[in-house]
Amino acid sequence: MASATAWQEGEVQLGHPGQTVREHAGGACGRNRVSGIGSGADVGPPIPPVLRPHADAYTRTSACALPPQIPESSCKRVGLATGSIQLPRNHYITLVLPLSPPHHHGESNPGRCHGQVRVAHAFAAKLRCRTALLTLCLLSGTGYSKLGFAGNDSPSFVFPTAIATKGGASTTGGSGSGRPAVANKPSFLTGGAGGGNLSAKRGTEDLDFFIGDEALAASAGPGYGIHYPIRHGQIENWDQMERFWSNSIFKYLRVEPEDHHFLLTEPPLNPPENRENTAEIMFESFNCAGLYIAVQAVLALAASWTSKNVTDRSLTGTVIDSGEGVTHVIPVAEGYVIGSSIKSIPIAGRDITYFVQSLLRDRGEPDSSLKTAERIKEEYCYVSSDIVKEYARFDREPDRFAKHPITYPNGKSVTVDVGYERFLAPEIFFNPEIYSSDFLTPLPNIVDTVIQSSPIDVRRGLYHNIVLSGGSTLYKDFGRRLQRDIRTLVNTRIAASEARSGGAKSGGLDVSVISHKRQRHGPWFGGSLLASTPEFKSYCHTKAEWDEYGPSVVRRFALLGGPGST
Amino acid sequence: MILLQSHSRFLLQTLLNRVQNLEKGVELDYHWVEFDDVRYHIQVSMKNSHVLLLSMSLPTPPPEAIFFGGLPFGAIEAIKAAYGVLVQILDPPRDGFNLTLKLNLSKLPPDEEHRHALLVKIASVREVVLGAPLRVILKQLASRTIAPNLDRLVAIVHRPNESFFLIPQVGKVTVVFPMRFKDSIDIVLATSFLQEFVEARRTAGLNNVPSCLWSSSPPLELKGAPGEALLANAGFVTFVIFPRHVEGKKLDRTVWSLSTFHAYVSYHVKCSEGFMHTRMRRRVESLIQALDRAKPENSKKTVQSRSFKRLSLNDARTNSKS
Repeated sequence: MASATAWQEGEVQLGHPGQTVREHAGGACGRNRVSGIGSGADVGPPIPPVLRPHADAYTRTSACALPPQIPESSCKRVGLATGSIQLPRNHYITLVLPLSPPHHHGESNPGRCHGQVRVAHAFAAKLRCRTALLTLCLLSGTGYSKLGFAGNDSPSFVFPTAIATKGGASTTGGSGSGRPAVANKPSFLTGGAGGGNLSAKRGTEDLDFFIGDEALAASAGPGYGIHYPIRHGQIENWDQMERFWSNSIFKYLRVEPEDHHFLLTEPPLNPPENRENTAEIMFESFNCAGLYIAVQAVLALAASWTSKNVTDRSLTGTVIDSGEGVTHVIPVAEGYVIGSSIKSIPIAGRDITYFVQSLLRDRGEPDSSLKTAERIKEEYCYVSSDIVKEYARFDREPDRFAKHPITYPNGKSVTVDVGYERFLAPEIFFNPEIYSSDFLTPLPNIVDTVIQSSPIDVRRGLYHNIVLSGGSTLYKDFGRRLQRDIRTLVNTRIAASEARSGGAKSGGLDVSVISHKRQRHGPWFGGSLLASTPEFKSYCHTKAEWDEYGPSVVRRFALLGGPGST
Repeated sequence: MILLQSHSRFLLQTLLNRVQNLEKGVELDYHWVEFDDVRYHIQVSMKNSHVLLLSMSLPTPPPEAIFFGGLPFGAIEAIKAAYGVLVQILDPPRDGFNLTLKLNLSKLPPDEEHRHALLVKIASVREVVLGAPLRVILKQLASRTIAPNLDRLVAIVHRPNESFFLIPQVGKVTVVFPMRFKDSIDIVLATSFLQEFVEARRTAGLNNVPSCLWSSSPPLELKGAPGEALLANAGFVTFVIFPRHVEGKKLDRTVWSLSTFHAYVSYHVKCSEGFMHTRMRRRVESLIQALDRAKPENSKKTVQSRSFKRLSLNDARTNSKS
């Protein structure tokens, strides 16, 4: 990487204000400057470009460094000094690409052309490198919102999707929608006829609210009422959601939305009207530079690409998304959710916590609070391959019984014994009858039913790529157990149909469950991954498009990370 | 929320998290951006988990602002004064950034309260660096020393390629903000907001605050500023700061409020747009209700939950004839 280090010596910049080079039709003669912003990729025909330092210190392009991933070979190919280029700060390099005579255009000279395009690509990538960060991922779920910048591996903020407003639930009781009490309130927008009497204008009430953990804290005190603007994954109260977003953007992330592209997510089967409302808020209130609305399940699939078991980066697969409240099994075929086959299971993280708690209570442990149960669930639980054998093993090896020490703030401490719940708690996914009496179908069977109800030509892909996502799938060996159980189901069925057909042999069906390191914030990480790709911005809808076409523009988004993109 | 806090929430949260789990080796590599194009990068390596590298890139300065080695004047001194031994400035900074600080978390004071204060201070590195030149001038005002650059225009960068201006005079400092917005709606809202802002200054309770003026054309103080700096589509806001505004602890607040004035206005513009949407949504809802009430009765369902046949135009005509 000698050249790359050399490049890093000074700040290398591209460009001249206002010059954006797209494809040069006809390959006009003359020299042609490339300013990297825009689609640097389409720069015309061959002939090595020349780099020359440029001391024009105050152009409008912003500074950024050449990313180390620019291949050394491409630098050589274009005759860049691979030794060292030392530039003082704020000096510029203009990439001068001489255009070839017209007859060269259209002539196929793939090698040279490719080299040049690659350089142009590299430069464009360099500029994007700085701008790629400018993408925000906002994931708003029923329980928690996750916000952060694309390109990172975890969200910056995770907090409850809650908003505490003045006046609280009591004053808004009539409408039932939890609207803020803002009726007929004069503000500077309704005309400042009242003159300078600020105290008469109750203009800051709509700014008086809290979100996230602060909302929970504020609602415990007097004067504030708590609201959850998202119910069952869908936004119910747009006013509150708008204020929630404005506070997330300005107070937590502290960004100017105009500078950023936003990636938001929606649950599967979100009505298109909701998309339009979301886009309206994003474009009209926040003026965001661009917007992409992705489906959570698709992002969860993309997150699994980091696993070493995934080689083909396809967007076909079954997503098992298990969070705090509910578990969804969602089949996705080439980036599109098969809505009719989605199934949800009323067993998720909270139920496991309750189950652990009930076991602790039955044994009469000194502390069986919900918090303790949760800690035990997170720290000790794992999935066993067979309950009966696991019981026997516990009896054989007494050191499998763990002890969980708890220290209270007042200095007292107790020890809670942790026993069979270590493997029994996650077992409720596989044998729900030990926990609930009304829901009895094990998770593997549900997954199998979901895939069987999907179109026949995608089933193989769905079995092949079962992706886990969400906090309740993090138990050790969860994926292995699930894979084994589904495989058993599938093999039994294949054997049965082989027997029925009398001698025909099946080619077999590959079932694989993908566990990966980013499961906890799976959809967020997938979003971050896709939004940090250079192509992301071309998939976004911009404010200009919104102004031009109106709300219907957000009904369709090109598939991010789908076929055709890199 | 009316005023932004001076510390970056995420940075403080990360720092506190690190300090609490100091002995736990954690790999950390995180990029993020703040308003006005301030970028951060924080890095902790597995090997040296108590050393933390914090890099920061500042908005691109316009030609009139004074920068030394990529930093506003007085920034290095301000960093040294604020953090002492805890922080080491790496030279050259990391690639693509203007400033890299090496924080040694093992050198934090053991005293809980003191430590927290220092972490908050680190999290407000933006204020320390970008506010440094402003602080230097306001300090001179507070101590009533005669500044060497009296009556000369000082430009301080606050947004990419944009600066605001300070005119230090005897006994006061005049601060002028050229306000620029991109969107046409924003411009209108910001203009009316600023007019109202000036109006609000005249209320009885706010006698002691800096006086504030708004004008659509550049004020006389800006004579001699470069032409490009005088193009502002939402007018110019002028504050006059007197020594009483920068006494003691007030200095920090004044520096922060002035250097984020644009973000403050921008936030309120966005809030007003949100507020108007709330009202528009309610209006639409009430109109829809009115429409629903006006729907013809005959589409109501009967007890057998079978609806009446809706009359077509022809049927209606024959009915009226008969």
